[in-house]
Amino acid sequence: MSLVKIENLYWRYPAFVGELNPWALQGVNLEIEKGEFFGITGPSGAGKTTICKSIMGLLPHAMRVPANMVNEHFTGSVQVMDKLVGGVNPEANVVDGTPRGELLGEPVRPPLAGMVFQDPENQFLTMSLLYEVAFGLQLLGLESDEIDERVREALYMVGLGHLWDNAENIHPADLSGGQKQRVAIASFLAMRPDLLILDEPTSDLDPIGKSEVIATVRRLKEEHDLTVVLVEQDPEILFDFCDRIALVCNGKVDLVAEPEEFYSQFEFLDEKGAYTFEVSRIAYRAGVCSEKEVPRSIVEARSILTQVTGEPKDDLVDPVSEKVIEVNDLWYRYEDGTVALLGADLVLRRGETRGLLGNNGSGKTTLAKILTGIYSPWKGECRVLGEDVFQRRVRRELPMKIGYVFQNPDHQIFTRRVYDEVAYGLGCVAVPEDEVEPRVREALERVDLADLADEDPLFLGKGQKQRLAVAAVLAMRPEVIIVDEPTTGQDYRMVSSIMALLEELHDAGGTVLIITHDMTLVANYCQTVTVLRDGRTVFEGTSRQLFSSPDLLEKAQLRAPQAISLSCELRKDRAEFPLLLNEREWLEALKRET
Amino acid sequence: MSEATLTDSTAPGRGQKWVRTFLFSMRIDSPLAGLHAITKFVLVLGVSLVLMGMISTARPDPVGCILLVALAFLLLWLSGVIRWLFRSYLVVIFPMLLSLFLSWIVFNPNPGTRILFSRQTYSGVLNVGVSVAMVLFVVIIVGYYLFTKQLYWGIIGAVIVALIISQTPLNLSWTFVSFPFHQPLTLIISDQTVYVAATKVLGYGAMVLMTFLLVLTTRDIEVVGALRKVPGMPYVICLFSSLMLRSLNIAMIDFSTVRQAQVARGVNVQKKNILAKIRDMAYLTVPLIANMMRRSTEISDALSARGYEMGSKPTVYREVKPFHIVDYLLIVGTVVLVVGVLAAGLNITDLVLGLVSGLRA
Repeated sequence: MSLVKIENLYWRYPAFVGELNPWALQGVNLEIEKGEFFGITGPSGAGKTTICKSIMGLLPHAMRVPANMVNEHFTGSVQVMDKLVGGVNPEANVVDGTPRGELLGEPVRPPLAGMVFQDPENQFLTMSLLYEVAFGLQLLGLESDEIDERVREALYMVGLGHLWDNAENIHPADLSGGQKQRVAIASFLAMRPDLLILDEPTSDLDPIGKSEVIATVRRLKEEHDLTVVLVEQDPEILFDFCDRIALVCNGKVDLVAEPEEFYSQFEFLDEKGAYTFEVSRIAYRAGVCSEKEVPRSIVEARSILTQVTGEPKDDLVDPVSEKVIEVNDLWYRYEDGTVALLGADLVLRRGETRGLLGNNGSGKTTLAKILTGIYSPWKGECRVLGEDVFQRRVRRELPMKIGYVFQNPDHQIFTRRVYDEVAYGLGCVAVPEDEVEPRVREALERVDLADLADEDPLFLGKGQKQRLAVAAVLAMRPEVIIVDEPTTGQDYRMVSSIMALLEELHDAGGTVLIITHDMTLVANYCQTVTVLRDGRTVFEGTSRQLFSSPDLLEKAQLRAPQAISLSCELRKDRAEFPLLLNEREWLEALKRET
Repeated sequence: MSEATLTDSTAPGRGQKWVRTFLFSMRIDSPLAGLHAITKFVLVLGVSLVLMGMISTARPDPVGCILLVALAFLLLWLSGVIRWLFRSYLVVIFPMLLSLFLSWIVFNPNPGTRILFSRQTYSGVLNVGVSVAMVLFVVIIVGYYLFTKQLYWGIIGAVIVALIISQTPLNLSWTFVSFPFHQPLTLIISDQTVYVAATKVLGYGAMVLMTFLLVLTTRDIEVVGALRKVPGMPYVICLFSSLMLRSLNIAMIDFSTVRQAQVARGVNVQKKNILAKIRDMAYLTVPLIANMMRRSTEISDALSARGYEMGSKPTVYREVKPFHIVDYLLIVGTVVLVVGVLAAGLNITDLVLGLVSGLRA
């Protein structure tokens, strides 16, 4: 029996002013069986979240569709458990002789279904863990004893049982991102739903937080009779957990299949801009197997990708080139007394692209904020271009030398015109008038936004906003660019485009420091890495050393990407097998053979 | 995935000793943590009223004030917030109380029973004339400005020189006209002015500390709970105030991030005057409002997903705290004290003095 049934659904978001928005969903047909673990993937803006909201009935019912334009906004139907959630009677509501349509159905009421959103901060509605989980239960009209029992049970289910005793006193700020997301899951589980929808619940989380949430969902699937809809980008998660996966593109469902079948359609997925397995890409692009045989895991790949030649070399910068940044045993203490850095070390040489890795709370961002003059260090040694960052004068001028691209572009857009946004920083540091325009134009050219110079940045897409933030930093002509989490919550194409941009900077001799959780990105673009853990530097060296050493990875709590894991796996049997780091090196090694 | 990754060592929970409040955090075992929010509010309001009576000029009650200051310190200490309060706010509190003390003494001439210091500051006659000190004052400032194009140290130096000269016989002066204006002013420091000033400082000090105590030991959730207890209060107001507090909390985090992003763009590279700094602040509104709008739609989706709709009436859970006996006792006690001091003229200093002289006799 299908739990969710979507038929020929068309939907567009109501516009506040002016013309109609384009259709966000263009004829979606989807059936989700009871007890199924259903995955949804696809590029950003394809309509994944919109489909989830339509299952909940948040649209059309919470969306303020203009009463006399219903037919222009919604057609088709959504049913959950054979009850109409969203529907329309197109012949009703006749005004001036034309039927305008009337919305039918009712939103899904808890406890039937729950939906966990992407940003853990926004869905924490109260100031205490206990009341957060209890809120939905109070709305269900349960009595205190019953609420106590269910909150406790739900916290245990998501692995936060140890917080129950003191739940009332725990403030959201006391919890990590992964914990907050698990609390959001618990607050729906406590209502004992039949259907749980998770909309990219791990995109803001580090690898540890990600595994916390995914492990939770996996156990729930095994232990409870729950139907789960998971929107996700990561092919490994989708492949391991889902019974069926749907690919959503441009407001349509292009493919629904079981994981095996789904990921064997390599060419189709690649063309649609969905994430694919790294080993699939290597095997298919090197032409060593047909599309139907592309490997998806290391086990599958190790029998196919064997014939290689050559030895890869690290393309390191001259070891005597200038140290642009030199940090030695650096300590930092927040105003409330929390010590965030306890002896961090970092050396960045001119022309280098280095990765700064470590989990949330390991001090990466704190270190970056010291290097850009936002925080003042406590003790230790910190030099930028040979100047001592402990001096106030030096710190004040750091923004001219070190550009910092923040993680969320929404936090760093200060004007309402793309051109002004890039010129803003130049005005702050008093660049001469006649130099401003050429510098802005040049920076916009480099990030490919020159055509949009007069647009309002707030209406750009997320990928464009991020490129704008990079342009704003480039125009300052800094010696070093620090990029904080450039790829979180972005689809495969956006990640490729931002990384191509960073690679271009590197090739032009720029010095780049990338803060990231994305290990594939590190293997592809960073020759060297610095790993922080609990405020200390635990490793400085090449990414090849890091990813080929299980001990180091364990110590740093990181995971190696598929490409290098595969070469390590093959080297267990064949010691002479080259240590290939990433897709590019693999393709080259395979090419030489053929 | 092993169980080990599911129970994190950094997590709060068992063994947690602190809980976040409006301002900073307090110890979980603070005696104030168990009190009802309404009790705390009545307590602080009552104590402030009592203090208003205690610092009256006619019948100051320094011993009462000292007792209340001591009580405030004790409670701050038991709540574990005293070190934080001193580190963050002493810079403000101490000069504030000191200036209160000085201005009271200067502007309230009261001979009392013993005059400690007295000096006429104004004779009641205005003289229009010129003196050596005045000329030097002007010459030094103008000269310093001409040479250095700066004023600050010129003014300081001129004041010092003029003060020194005016105290010596070198300060020749010529008066052109003189006429009487206002009455003569005298600075009098007597036992009475010091006594009253000290009481006032102690009293205001106790009020400040008590107010800090309230915001340092009250949690936002308590306020929401107290609101739900008010008869006839629609739930939507309780929910709205709760969401308001939570959004403020998020907005503060956004603000600091946005401000840092602005610093990273170089706003502080140049030295700026106050107007330019205000303009910089205005730029912050673009990202702040953009974020707020994004968050508000997401929060309303999250509310709907939990099943909230207009008119929902959730059941009462633990946020509505019961009144304990100790709450009633404290409120009654506070009312008795207020009535005692304000209506019946209770004065602890007099009581203590009476007791001491009674014991002697």
